[in-house]
Amino acid sequence: MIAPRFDLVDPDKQPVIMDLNIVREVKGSMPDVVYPHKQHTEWLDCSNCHPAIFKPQKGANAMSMANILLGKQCGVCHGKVAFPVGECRKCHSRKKPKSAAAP
Amino acid sequence: MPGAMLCKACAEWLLGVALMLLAVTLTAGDADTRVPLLEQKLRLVERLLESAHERHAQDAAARGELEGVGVMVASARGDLASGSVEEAEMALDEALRQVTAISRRARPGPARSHVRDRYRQLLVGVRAFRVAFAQVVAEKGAASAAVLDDARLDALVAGAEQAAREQRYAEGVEQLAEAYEMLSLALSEARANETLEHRLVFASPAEEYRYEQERYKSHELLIKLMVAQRAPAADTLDRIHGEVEQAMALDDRARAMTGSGDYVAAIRIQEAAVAHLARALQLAGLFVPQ
Repeated sequence: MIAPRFDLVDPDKQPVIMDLNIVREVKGSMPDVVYPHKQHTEWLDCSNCHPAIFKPQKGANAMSMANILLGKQCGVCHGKVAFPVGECRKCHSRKKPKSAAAP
Repeated sequence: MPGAMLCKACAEWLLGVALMLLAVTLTAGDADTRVPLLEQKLRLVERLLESAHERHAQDAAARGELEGVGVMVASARGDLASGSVEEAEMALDEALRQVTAISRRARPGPARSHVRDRYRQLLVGVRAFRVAFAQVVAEKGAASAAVLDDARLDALVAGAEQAAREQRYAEGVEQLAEAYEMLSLALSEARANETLEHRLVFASPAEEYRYEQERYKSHELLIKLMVAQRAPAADTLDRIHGEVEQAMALDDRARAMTGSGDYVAAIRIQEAAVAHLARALQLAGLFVPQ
């Protein structure tokens, strides 16, 4: 069985797995987006995304699907080396309360 | 700047080629052509010397050696002026050999610049994570700061900055990597098993309108992507185009409303435009709930 080590140089280095979910409310009928740090940090180092792609501060990153489709933000990986952006429900995964669904 | 470095490297390579060609020509040439060719060689060596001086402005040892080369070049210039062609040629050849050797030896290689880049990346990362950790402490209270050894972190950052000031970037990288890991672990521990909610809050109708425009643009791009990927049947494609045309008309209307400053009305119209695009996306086979 293949068990790749986490670090190319240091064989003893272990990933810092962060179990933090970020939920981003979106307007319209699409479910809100859930970003799970856990699944990402099992493979990636924090520095792969922070702070060059995403500033690690609440409210510091204005997200849009347009940016993602143009290869920015999540689109740096998704659609290239991670599942494509057309699989909406993988990220838009938290249903809104019925009263909250705006046009 | 990498682009500028590359251009400089290219220019120097071309200069080297020119000097080699010149050497061949000098060997083959007669006395009448030797002096003008040596004058040309002198100018080329002077340019190489000038460029080496710029590059090694911070390197005292290299600067001292380059000054020695400068003396040789001045001597060659004097020899040429007094008609001592052989001496001028010998001095120029030696000057060329030395300036090339100094440049090659002291040039910052890719490995060194890579370490400097890594240092800068880490420093930016450490600063950003410190701000993030301060947010956690502000949110959860001073007790949450206990997961981070602040004194150790300060010492690592100060040590790294001092190392960088003394051009010891590799040491700086080591210290910053430790600081970065400390902060990653502290943040991970402080936020373990949490869910952070980012609610949509608009500071003004104008801001909400910009959000709607971005949503419109996103839908437009997705439609193009889906149509290209899924190649819908001709009749479906017509219906998609119909929805897109209605959306475009509404988008124009919303834009016009903003001209008079009526962002509230513009948002309503833009939402309707996005709804048409959402229907187009459904027609293209994408999941968009009603």
